[in-house]
Amino acid sequence: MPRDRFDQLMTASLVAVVIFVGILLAGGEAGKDHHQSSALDRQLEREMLYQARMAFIERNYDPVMILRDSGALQEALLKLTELARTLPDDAHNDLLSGDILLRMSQFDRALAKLATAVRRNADYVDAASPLNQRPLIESAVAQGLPLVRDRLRSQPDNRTMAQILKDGYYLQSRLAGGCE
Amino acid sequence: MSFSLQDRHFWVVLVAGLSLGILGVFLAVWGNPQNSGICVSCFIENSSGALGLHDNERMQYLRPELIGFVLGSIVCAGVFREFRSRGGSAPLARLVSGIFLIVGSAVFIGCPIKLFLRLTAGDLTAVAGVFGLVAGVWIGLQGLARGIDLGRSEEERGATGLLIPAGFVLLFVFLLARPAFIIFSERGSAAQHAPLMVSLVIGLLLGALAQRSRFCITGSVRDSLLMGSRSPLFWGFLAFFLGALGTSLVTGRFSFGLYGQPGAHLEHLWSFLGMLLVGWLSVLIGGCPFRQLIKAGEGDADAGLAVVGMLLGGGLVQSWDIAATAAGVSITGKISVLAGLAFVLVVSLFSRDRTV
Repeated sequence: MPRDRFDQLMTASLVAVVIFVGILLAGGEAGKDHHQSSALDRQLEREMLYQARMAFIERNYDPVMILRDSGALQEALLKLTELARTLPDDAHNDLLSGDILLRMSQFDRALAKLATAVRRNADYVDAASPLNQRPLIESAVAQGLPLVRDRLRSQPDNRTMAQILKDGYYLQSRLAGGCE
Repeated sequence: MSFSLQDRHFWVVLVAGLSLGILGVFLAVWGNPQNSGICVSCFIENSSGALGLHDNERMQYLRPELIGFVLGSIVCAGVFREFRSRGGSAPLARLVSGIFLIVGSAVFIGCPIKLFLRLTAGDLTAVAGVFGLVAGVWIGLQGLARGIDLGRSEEERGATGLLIPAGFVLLFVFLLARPAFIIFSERGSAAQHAPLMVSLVIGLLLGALAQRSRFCITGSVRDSLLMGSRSPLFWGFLAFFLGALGTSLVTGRFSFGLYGQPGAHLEHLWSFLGMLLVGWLSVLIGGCPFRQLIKAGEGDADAGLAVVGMLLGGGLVQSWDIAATAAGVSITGKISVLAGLAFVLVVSLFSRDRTV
């Protein structure tokens, strides 16, 4: 409790500051603030960037998907190799390669490609993302992992296969969820 | 047993442990990430991101459980007249310890609570972490026995003990008002969460129970190593473990194995070392990340500084790529754990009373 004039002055100042903050909030000043709007801009930018990424994928990889859907799997892979020269290290290239290799029953290579894609962009295993490819990856893991395990059992020194097995476990773990 | 079954404290500890185990699993059933119903370090990383301390857009959410832990603790401490502003024991060492608590947890992928939630969900990769935590607590106890002491905290004038709870009240306001500068992920594990009010109420309840019981995981390990089954915390831990295991089995969340576990990696050495760091630091500063939040709610400004360090750590582990993922532990993660061990060794060397 305030005991002397100094205490009273401090208490009165505190009340004044609280009232001032209240006035600023009630008057909507916070909403007009430049920093507030720049925070909103940042969120908008993030969303726009995401939309742009989706449009980018559609524009660049549409020809590959047409080839894939028509059953021209080798041509689709060639097209992806060609695209990788102009768009190196793009996660969607790896994802589509994995998809096509899976259709060609090359399970080990499909697993490696899909693991690279998910490492580069976790949205592929995110059910809430428009890029969600969980069914494809689940199918690759379900079909590929037992075969890779069998092959490694018969060739225990095969380092490439050991790495692909790790890739398979990685995908399995990402599909299972948990914290990132 | 050195306590009687009529001892009220024993039952409070038992209820606290059981509630933490059961609700820890149920929070994941209700929307939190798999095996992460309660994970203080993950929640701290999410909250740091929401405050703009890192830019991982998949890890930004102001977790209501954290707010509940601190506010539940202060309300309970207030009601039972246990709130006391205190501090002044090696504040900077505690701040840095808070950072390294999150580093160790991030490299393991989870705090000590999540360690056992993972284990009780059948995740065998957590076993290395259990060994690490027990080893860390044991080393910490050896240090305490040989005179390592950060110094006593003193009663503090003023309202320093209220600062951290006040900060969490502000976070609660942010959570409800959602100002534009607070960021909420729309994808990734931070976008997975139980309904806000459910998380908040459970946080409040567990915060209050933990305040009354002094229950925490590393405290239980510590007391079990010192006193075995004579310690009420041993039984609280057993209740937590069995509660989590039973709930995992009943809700179909139990998946036994080493591979393909959610939010886990296969670098067992680093899981061991990450948790060793957490266990050791927890003994040194008197509690794991969860306990630091509870103590901060009781007016302990030293624990409050550890909480501030944890929030900073939450930002750093994401910004500097220290946090491990299912793909494994990065080189910065490995170096950071070793830096943490170097830190705790230096603190131990310089904080030792050699007359003991």
